[in-house]
Amino acid sequence: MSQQFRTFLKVTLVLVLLAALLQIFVFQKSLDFWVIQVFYGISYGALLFLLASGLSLIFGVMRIVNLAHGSFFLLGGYVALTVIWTTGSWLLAIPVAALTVGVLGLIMERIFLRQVGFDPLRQVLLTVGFALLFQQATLDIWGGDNFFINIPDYLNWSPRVGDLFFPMNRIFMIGLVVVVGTLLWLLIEKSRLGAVIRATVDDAEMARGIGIDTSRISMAVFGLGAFLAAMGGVIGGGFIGVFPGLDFEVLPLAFAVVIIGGMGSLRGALAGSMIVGLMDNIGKGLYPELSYFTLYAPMVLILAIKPTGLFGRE
Amino acid sequence: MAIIEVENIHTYYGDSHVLHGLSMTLEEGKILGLLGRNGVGKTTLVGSLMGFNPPRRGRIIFKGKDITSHPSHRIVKLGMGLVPQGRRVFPTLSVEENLIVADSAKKRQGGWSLERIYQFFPILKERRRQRAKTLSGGEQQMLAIGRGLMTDPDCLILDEPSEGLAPLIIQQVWEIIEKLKEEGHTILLVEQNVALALKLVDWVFVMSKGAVVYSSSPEDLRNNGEIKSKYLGL
Ligand SMILES: Nc1ncnc2c1ncn2[C@@H]1O[C@H](COP(=O)(O)OP(=O)(O)OP(=O)(O)O)[C@@H](O)[C@H]1O
Ligand SMILES: [Mg+2]
Repeated sequence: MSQQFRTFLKVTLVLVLLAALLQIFVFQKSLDFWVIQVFYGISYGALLFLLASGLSLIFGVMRIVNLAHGSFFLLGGYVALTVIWTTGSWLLAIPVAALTVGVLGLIMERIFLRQVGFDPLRQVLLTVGFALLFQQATLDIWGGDNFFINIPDYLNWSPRVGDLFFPMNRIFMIGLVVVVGTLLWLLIEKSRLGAVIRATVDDAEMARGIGIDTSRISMAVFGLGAFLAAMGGVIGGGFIGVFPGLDFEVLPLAFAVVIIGGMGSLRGALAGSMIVGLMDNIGKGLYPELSYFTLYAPMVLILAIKPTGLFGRE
Repeated sequence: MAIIEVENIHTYYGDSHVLHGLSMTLEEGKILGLLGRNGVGKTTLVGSLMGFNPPRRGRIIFKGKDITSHPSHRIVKLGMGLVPQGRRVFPTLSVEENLIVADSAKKRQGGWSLERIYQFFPILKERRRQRAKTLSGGEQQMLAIGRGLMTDPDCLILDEPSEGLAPLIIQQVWEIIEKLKEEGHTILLVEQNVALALKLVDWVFVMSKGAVVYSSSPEDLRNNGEIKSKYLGL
């Protein structure tokens, strides 16, 4: 068993114990409460995975902290709204929005990020610049209203198990992320391209030294990250909506996930998403006043135990 | 015929001037030994040849082409292969993945394939599913050599392949280099261990303070006590 996995188990164990103690001694909540909270937590975690997995891969490959990542999420939501307004199809909106924003990411990397090289300050300034640009552009194009991406009727019902209702749209979201996550896992862990990406994460200069064109890898990963975040934005539009300022609201969530899971690792992004999703839901269910605490407490805890994150490299 | 010609190059790290007008040539089909003490700039020269750290002045000609400021991956595609100092295998990749990622798309006659590498290094086949970071130092060195060969190089650079290895393992590595030599490979062997290097090479260059200060056949160097004590600490 790997060191990382043991740390992961330890942390999970501590969290579960804490939660169980709270349950037994403080809250006396019913089992139903826990089942629903865990279900909501997992579905929220699924959304976070779409948002943050790309951010993590981009950092791993390019050592770029992409502060425009929340903008990709927001842009995904807006493009989806336009598709729905013109075609009426929600299912079509998901791939169209993801692809549009993915291509935007490719262009942004190729034309702008490529030029600044490996200077972290210039990278940060450039991605912040893009985030502000996108903020203004979305305001000009879609206006300042709050929108909601209405899910189609066939998802707008809740199968019942015992006394509990499980909203279909959340089940769909979990299913979608299982499919997307599996494809992503096959790509990164099982394909040659994935091995090339991981080699670049391990040692970019050495990767060039065996003939890998790492700048093309960077472009592809940046586009992939934008694609995934935009898909998250479409799905998230049915829960949190689409509105000015959402970009900078989700950005800290993405960073919490990546810091907890470790940068540049798909497993890390999954673990981080689930921890943040579960903690946030359970925490809000137990102590609604302390929502920021439940977001940042696991982050601080992990940073104290393992500063590189659960699955990050040393 | 010269496969590499380095003409009067100056290479820097930021403001620090490391190579001071270095020139050298490497003949096709030969093993060239590049000797010199700690920190004289051997790895810096390798970095310039590979395009990791291109020289600010001077030229590098490889197979008749000026590659002075080409990106590394293109230099590799042209036929420069690297087994770097410290091995630098990709630690989180499996042994097989380390080899596959180096596989050149252009497969030519008599080129290197996974099967041929495994014939050459049976231990790598045994370990092929293991992560590279779990290998011993000697196994990692074999993997680094195998990975360099997978790019199908016309010229293979080996930067201190004996560093940090036990004598028995060094002997194995040397046998491998010998085999490559017999197959007619062109090799640039960078070494601090003079005795080891002299066993193999056809010609030697000695570096000091970022320039080549001496070159001769291995026999001449063996008999030249002055150069050995002045530049090689022997
Ligand atoms: N990345 C770097 N940044 C700044 N200076 C460097 C860097 N790498 C090497 N140097 C300096 O350049 C000089 C030459 O280093 P280089 O690694 O080329 O020597 P070397 O001959 O390969 O030594 P060794 O036998 O120890 O490998 C040294 O003074 C070293 O301190
Ligand atoms: Mg060196």
